[in-house]
Amino acid sequence: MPPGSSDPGRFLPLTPLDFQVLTLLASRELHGYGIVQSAGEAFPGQPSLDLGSLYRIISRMLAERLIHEVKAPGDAPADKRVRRYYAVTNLGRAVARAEAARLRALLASPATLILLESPR
Amino acid sequence: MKALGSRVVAALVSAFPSPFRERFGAEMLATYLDQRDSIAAGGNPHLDLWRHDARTVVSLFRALHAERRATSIRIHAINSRSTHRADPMSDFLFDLRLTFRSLRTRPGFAALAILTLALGIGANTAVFSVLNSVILSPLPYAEPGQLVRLYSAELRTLADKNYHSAPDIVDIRDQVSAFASVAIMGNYREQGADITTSDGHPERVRVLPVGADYFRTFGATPLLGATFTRDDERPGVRKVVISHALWQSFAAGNRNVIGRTVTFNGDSYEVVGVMRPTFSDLNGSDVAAWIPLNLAPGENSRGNHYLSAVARLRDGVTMAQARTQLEPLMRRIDEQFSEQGYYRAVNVVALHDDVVGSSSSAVYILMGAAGLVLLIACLNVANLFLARSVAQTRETAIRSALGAGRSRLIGARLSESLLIALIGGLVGSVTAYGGVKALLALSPESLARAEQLHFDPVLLGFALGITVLTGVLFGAAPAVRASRADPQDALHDASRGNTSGRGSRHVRSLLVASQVSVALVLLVGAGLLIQAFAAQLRRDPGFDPSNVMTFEVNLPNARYDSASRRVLLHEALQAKLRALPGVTNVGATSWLPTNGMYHSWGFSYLDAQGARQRTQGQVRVVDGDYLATLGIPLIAGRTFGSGDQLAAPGAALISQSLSRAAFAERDPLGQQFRTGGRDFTVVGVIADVASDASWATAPLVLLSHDQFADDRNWVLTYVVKSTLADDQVVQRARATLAEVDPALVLFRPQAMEAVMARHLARDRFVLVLMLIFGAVALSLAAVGVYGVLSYLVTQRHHEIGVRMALGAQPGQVRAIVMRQGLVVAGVGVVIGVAGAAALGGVLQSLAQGVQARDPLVFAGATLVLGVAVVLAGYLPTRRATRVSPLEALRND
Repeated sequence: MPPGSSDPGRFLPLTPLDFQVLTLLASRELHGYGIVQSAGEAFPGQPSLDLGSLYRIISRMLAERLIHEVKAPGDAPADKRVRRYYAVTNLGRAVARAEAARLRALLASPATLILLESPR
Repeated sequence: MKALGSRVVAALVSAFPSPFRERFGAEMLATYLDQRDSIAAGGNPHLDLWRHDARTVVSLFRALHAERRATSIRIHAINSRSTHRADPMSDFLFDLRLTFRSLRTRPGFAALAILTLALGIGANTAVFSVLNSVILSPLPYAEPGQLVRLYSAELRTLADKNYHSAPDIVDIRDQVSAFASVAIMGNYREQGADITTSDGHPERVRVLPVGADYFRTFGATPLLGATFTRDDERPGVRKVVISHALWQSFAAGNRNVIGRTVTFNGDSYEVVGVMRPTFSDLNGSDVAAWIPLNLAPGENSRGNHYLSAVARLRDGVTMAQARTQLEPLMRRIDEQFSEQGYYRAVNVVALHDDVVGSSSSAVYILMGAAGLVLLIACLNVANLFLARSVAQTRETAIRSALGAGRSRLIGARLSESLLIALIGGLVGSVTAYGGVKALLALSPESLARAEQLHFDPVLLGFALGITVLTGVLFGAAPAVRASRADPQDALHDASRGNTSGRGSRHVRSLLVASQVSVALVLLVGAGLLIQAFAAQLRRDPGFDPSNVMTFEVNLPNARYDSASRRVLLHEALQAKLRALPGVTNVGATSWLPTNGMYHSWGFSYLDAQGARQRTQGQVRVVDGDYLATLGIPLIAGRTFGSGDQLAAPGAALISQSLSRAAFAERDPLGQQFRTGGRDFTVVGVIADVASDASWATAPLVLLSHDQFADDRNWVLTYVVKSTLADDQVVQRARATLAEVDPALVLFRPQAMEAVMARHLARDRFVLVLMLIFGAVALSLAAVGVYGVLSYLVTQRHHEIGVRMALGAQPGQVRAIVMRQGLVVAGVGVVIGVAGAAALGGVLQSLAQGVQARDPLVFAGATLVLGVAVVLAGYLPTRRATRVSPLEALRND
């Protein structure tokens, strides 16, 4: 692996969807539908994850080692549908945190505050 | 409903690239179904499910597209190796996609290459199609190789193409066993007859008098009835075989037509046969009917040469054998009739050569020109591809460094060449199709057999093949070389932008020099033809065609059965025409000048020693103020007067060249000669006038219609000089004719200038095409020069920057670049002049009036080419001086 690939800053800024996926997987292990479902609950009003985007994101994040596949938990539904569960890697968690911090700093900047508080 | 959505989603998922599909396919479906299940449990399942399915399908499409692109680039650009043999087809398709994309980013290159190919392919296919249908394809008769044309010839000049007299050709038919049969036909190319249609109004159709074996010789059998027998070859036989077209229009295709009568020129003819629609007469597909020739012994003079003949050789007999058999026969006839001083020889020519003969030189010229255009197009395509491959050296090196194998690198280049060649071929075939249409429109009658002209896909394939081969060769060759090179060197060189293209620069300069030379050859060729054409236009035909209207008047035999009646009619008509306001002169002739050979009769006279000599004269019967109307000068003696009547001694006018040939230094006036079985006295000498399409003059004998009207019912072509507009003359003349005899037809009205222009139509057609070819060659050569110079400027960007930083003036820089261009063009011009000099000789042998070494044409063509080269070189030169030294150095 080339040097610097473990530097979280290298991945920033994240796209809104990448951030959603990473943040959700940082809190718990989820399968595909689980991610979609949780995203709808956790981030109402945000761009929603569709099937095509979701798996391209998963595919890319696996390749970038931001997430990894984990064993299905004991309470997983027992039918024939193939469900794989994913969780963040340490790098992935660090990247999500770095993005969150970046967003917080952005929102906390005086310029943003003035924008938000000024009448339209 | 559910099944449909799932099926579409499953199909889309399965369309993802295989690594992705294998890893996530099942999972994606599971997620989709999970989503559906949860929606189905909700409040408004139907609508929500629809919405969800639609959204999923759209999202999958988008993802599919994105993933495919990403995957293919990952797989091919990085992982592809020469050992990668998984799927050549997908490699090819990948390359094709990549090519499309890269061509879109450089539309100029693609447009130039495609335009070049289209021009080269289009021009060639069109011209070769003409060549193929007009020249190469066989005549539409059975065993066409056995057909030969027989010409009567003088022993002194075997090339002579004269007509036969009836007794001569009948002797040949009956006594030469080399011929299976001989088709004898009247030579009058424009012979017509007025047919009275079912509704009673007269209409003019083309009728050909033929011998009994006519159809058999061409291997044609009638659809209905029969053709003629030897018994029909006598006077007074009123039988007719009609064409399929006339059968349809005249008898509405009625099968009971056999035995019915048709009225031609007031005479009733019995229909004995109907030909098949597939039979096209050699003299033109518009021949509507055939009537028997009168070939009876004693009915025809051996001095009257008015018949054409086509013979079919017996199986296994050669033309040489036929000639050997003809010789003793002709000698025998000659001895028997020697007191009349006739010459006897027969010229045997393959019919196919005879038919296409006059067109072939025009088509060969065009074929050569089209071939040169194709050559230039190939050079240009090669040049473009070479330039592009050099520009892509860096890209090739990167791909090679990333592990792409040689076959993949060459394949990528090949797919590009192929794609461009294919598009070029498509555009080219459209061009070719249009080209054939244009050729047809431009030359309806000037090319022999033009009616058989059609677009030939086989030839399109040929031209396409050549250009594709060029593209492939020059597209792939540099790639092969580049793929062998050390990527590190290539990258280094490419980044410095100086040395990598040196070899190819030489190749490209060579290509451009070749282009310039070929373009010059074409321009000189076009120039020489223009010169010849202009010279032809400047030539004096010996008469003044301006403001002269012509039309034919044919008198039906039935009502005009005596010479005096015919003379009276023409006298009355001319008097009335002359009285029309605006009309200055009225005359008539049996055959207009420039229309070629017509009545070619023996002309026998006594030389200074009193020995009988003979030569050949073109006999024309004239009436009224013929000489004055056409402005033909009378050099000595008088013209015909009212005294030259039927009963008076024969008077004739002869042309100056005939006078010189026959009477040399003696005074021609008062000399006696014999033609058409009668004696005449020369009463006047006229200037020579153009006799055929190339303005050549022929020995001419003019006889007075008043005196000679008893020889036959002459179809006279009127010449009317007036101050009126053409259509006004025709309108008034038609009204006048109706006053004299309402049943007569004013046929084929044409201005004399139009009659002459028709003869020049083919030359003009060839000229226009040559000009187009020349212009195409010029632009392609200019494109080549432009390409090489702009490439040079790009390559020497760095050097130019350094020079300018060191204080070089823009003028100096321009001179450096321009010099390169001029050297290349100069080499091309030198080669081109040599090539053009060689070509001039060929042109001279093919086209009339070409001066092969015309210095004016050579200088003009070189000048035009030089201007184009300088203009093409100017833009890149200017760009060179805009190079900012700072930028050039920074790029290093």
